Amino acid sequence: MVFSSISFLFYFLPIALGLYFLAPGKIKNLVLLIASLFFYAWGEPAYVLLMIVSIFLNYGAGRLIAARRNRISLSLGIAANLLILGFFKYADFLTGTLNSLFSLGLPELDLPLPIGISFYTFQAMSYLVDLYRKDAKLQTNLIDFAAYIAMFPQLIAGPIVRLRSIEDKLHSRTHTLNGFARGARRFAVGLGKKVLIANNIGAVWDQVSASDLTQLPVLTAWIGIAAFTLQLYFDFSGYSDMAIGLGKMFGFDFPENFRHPYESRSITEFWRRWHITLGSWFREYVYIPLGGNKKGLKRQLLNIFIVWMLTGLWHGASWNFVLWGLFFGVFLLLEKVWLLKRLEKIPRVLTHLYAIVIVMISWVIFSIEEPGSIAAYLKAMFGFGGGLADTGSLYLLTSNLILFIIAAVGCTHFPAALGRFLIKDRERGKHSRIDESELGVSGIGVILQNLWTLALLLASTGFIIASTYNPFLYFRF
Amino acid sequence: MARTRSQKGRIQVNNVLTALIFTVFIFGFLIASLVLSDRTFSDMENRNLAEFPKISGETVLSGDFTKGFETYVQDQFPSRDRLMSLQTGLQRAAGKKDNGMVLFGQDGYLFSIETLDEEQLARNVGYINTIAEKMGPGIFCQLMVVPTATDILKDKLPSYAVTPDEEGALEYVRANTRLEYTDLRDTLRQHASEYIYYRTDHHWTTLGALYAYNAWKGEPQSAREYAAELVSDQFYGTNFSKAVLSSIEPDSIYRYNDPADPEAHPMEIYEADGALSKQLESVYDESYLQVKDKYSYFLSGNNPVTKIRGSSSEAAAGKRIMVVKDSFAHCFIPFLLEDYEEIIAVDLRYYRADLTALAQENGITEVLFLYNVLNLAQDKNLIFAAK
Repeated sequence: MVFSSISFLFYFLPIALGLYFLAPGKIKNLVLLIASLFFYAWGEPAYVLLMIVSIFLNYGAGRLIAARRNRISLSLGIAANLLILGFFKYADFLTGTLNSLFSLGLPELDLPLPIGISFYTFQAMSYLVDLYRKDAKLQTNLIDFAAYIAMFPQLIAGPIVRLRSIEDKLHSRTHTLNGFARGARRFAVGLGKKVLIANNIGAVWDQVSASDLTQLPVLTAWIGIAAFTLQLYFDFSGYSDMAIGLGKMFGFDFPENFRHPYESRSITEFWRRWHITLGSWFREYVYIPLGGNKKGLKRQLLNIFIVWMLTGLWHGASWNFVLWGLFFGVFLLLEKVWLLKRLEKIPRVLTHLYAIVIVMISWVIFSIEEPGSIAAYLKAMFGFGGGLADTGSLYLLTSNLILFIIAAVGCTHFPAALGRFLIKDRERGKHSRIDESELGVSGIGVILQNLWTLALLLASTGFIIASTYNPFLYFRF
Repeated sequence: MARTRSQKGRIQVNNVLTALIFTVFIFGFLIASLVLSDRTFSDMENRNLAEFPKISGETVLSGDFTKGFETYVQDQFPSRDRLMSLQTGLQRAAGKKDNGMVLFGQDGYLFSIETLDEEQLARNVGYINTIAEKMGPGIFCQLMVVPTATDILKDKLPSYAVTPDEEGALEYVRANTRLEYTDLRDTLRQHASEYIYYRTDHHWTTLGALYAYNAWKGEPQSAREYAAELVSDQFYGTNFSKAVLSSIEPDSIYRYNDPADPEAHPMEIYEADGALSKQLESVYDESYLQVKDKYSYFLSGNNPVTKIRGSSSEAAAGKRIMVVKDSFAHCFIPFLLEDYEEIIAVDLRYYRADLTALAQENGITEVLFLYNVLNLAQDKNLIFAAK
């Protein structure tokens, strides 16, 4: 089930919320678990069994690690998770690669990818490692642990929540009106980001990427990849917002996953702002265990390459993702040994430009699977395709100009700042914070904020319904 | 008031309001969905809406049930058409020039987004040549291909819109057909400022068809004095269905009556197997004026074979025409009533039997192929008649 669907928004969510809040405190986690399993089974009726197996397996592995405290038990647990992930996500990629290299003719499994498997196995592995390092406590309550692994808000697209960061709340949490309201606002923003911006600007990319890439004018190529750049951010961060918002409604505080990444002034900075929970997972559980930067420069460079190859591979079982990860690896290395210091000396605007152009080029590699097409697209961007612009590029630009402006401004910190400015309580000025989480709000702010939330919900519903609008026309006859 | 209310109190009000809005919103639509009874048919989309899917172990495990459920709740969503209208309104407010299905033109014109398959067009022109040859020398075969609004009303398209090259396609047809050909480009362009295409539908208007009829007869002006009769001013066509928006004005449908024509022109509609399925007093089917699909007023919509009694005048004696056509012909055919003894309209989408035999059985003396250019380039049925 996806969040931006009628069955989630108007069937699953009200029923799940209703049951959850009606249930007494002791069985709230059980209700959350059942709801989550139902949520998962809705889209993956067969693979929900795989998830249940994974829950039991990691629960058991946790007990083993806590009892033995040795590397063997940890390795067993990690290996089991990697085996599951490898089998369901990478088996065909591996056999396909081997077949094309050695023409072995190995049969392909053709298994559909279980949704969210990359997220929940990574969460499970983080628990096992943290437990081994004594950063997390042994989970003895199977229901609580299962609710953590299967928890539907972050199941499909993150953020990757480490158990130790929500451990206290998993066992006992309070539900406040403030938490619910803030969660609802955050959810509405996320829904709007996904449905109003990502889906619409994504249509521009679909159109451009479906055309003949070798004949693409420069302007069209840049419009296309700009559209994809914005689509990816609004889609992904919109999902994270919805997850964080839902989490708040259920009494959790999930970690932030994006902090205006396209404002970055270097690739190093970009990866501190983009998909933050994945970056810190790889740092914590791969980069630092490999020795990080503590074993000399050569070893550090190697570690960076390993981490970025794996990061690429995590995004999808295909060579273009590996290439994409290594592309970032190269720039991160370059920045580390030489470029970062230079960047500090040149004008701000140029550093922004440098970072965003590199990121946009990376999205070309990310979004196009076939190497020949990646090359054709990059050529087109730099003038070796089909001229500067044509009527088609001007049409795309003029028809989507307002959408591009909204999206481009929307991915910076300005909208949030504007929102705070509009609703802040002027009687108390800047210092009206009651605590860290609550800004003061003016009377007009109350009206604006609620109208905004309602408008987002309504407009998003309109766009979801419109996407299913399917007039059957006695065609042209 | 606000001054006396404490900051904490105001935050509380804010939170209560947000929580209420959110819960009322999601529960409201849920309850409305459950309470309202299902619609079986959508006028706007001209299709049957999904029903509650079959639930069984098999459909659940295969995922068919959940997919069916999603379609069902989308189709039966309360205020579906109004939400669609909201979406179109927002898109237009954001300066979008199209919604993926139609281009938003000037003066309320909606243009359907189409493609033109040049290879299929070339094949179809060839098939029509073959069919004409098979008809034999005794039957006079003619071809008329209609440009669409996208071509004739170019000025009303949004700026920089890329549309199919109808001009090139029509030129190809003119150069490659071996039939008597009527080129409508100049005629329709001369009248481009008049109401010759519907704003909300992909068809031409009866007035557009009248100009085409004159051009086909080789007369610069109508020989007959027609009286235009308004039959509906509430026509929302196919392009409106693709871009529902409440601020769009409906179209008007006219029919052209010749007061000098004293005769009735009853119509018989046949299935593909030759069975008579419907009989009407005239070429107009009043029942369609009550539904959304009002263009089907002409000739009672799409049917395999339609036989119309023409004129018993001396001028028409012995003249029997077969019109092989798409729906553009529907508002054109009434102009033929006084010229022919009998008119047979054939829709090759539904009629796959032997066309030559049908012509011979009915003593046909003339054949007119009448298609709009995009259809001609799309049609996959002419091949069966050419075999």
